Amino acid sequence: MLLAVCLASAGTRGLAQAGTSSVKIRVNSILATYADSSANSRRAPAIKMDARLNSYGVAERLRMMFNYTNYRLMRHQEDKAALGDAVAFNLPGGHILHVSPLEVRGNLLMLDLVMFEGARLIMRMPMRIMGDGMLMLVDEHNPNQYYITTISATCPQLQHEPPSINVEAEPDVPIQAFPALLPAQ
Amino acid sequence: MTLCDEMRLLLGPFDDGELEPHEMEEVAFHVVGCVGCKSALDEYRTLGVALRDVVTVPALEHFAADIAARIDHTWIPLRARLRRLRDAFGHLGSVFEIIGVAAATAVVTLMVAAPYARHFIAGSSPVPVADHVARADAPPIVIAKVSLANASAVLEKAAAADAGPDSAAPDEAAIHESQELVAQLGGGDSRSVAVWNEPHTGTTVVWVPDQP
Repeated sequence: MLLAVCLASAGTRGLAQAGTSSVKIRVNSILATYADSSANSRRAPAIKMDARLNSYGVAERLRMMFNYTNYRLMRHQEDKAALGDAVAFNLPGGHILHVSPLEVRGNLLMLDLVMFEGARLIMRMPMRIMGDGMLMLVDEHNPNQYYITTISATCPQLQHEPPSINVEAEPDVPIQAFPALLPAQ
Repeated sequence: MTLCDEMRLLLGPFDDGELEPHEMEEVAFHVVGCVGCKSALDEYRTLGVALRDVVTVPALEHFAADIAARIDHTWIPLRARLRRLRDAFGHLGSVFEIIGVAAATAVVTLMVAAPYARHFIAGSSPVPVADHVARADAPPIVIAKVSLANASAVLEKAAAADAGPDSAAPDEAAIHESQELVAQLGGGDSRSVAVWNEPHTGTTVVWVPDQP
């Protein structure tokens, strides 16, 4: 009888989880660097993009938002979390990222992001992303070494609208981003 | 040629005092010891005195003035007059030449560059945009600094505004939200982070604050 009760509760929990919205969260940890353009070189340095970033749909956004010349995927992580729960991701550099999906409103997903360095709280910020949107956290660890953490989420309740990214992939020709996004040299 | 032959050539200038000091010494030293040269020198002196006595020296009191008056009354050809006029200007003429050349160059430059200057000022001709510069149809990037302390309140407020029946296009809503965030620029002790939002692709970039 006890076993039956346990099985029943487990089944109930499973049904409850199936009914509750489950958000799949993808986190990519990318190392971005900027090649030193010497005064003698006339051509701008070409962009070296990790091929795996193309398959994750991150490469186009990186080219659009940043002006770095080297992008290398350090880690790719995926996890699921119910609304109100939190999942933790270990990031390069000793950071820990807690992502907590809060609510779905139309095509917007409300998230709560908390970043730790060991036990020390670095940043806590509620954000929201669109159905096919992406959140990028940029952190400078060393001079000319930037860790870009991309966060994207999918949920059955999210209304997906394909993003209009019209960036032509020209790996040999760097695309100049907005002046405000140029890293300090 | 013997030494006496050489000295005999110098006896006449010696007597007239036209030699160099060292030559005068040499001739005088030689004449003292040479009887032949001494007699020749005496003959030169006698001849000189005789010639001076014969010739009458004209009066030279107004010589220079007379010459100048004669020159003034002399007819000078036109070519010579022009040459004098040009020489009179001297350096001044070269300055006029330089100024004239510079003025001509400036006039020509203005005539050539005036149409381009007019276009530049009026802005009529489009400036070609490099391919690398952000495209004209690229959506605007809104840069905001969010105070960590009140970001959640602002976010909720923006979300509530977007849920209204008259919610605008996604980019306008995102811009509205970002403007809300901009209006809440950090004050007090809360740290702030820089946030970039690209509404069309739904990409948001957050710069993690520097850690001590």
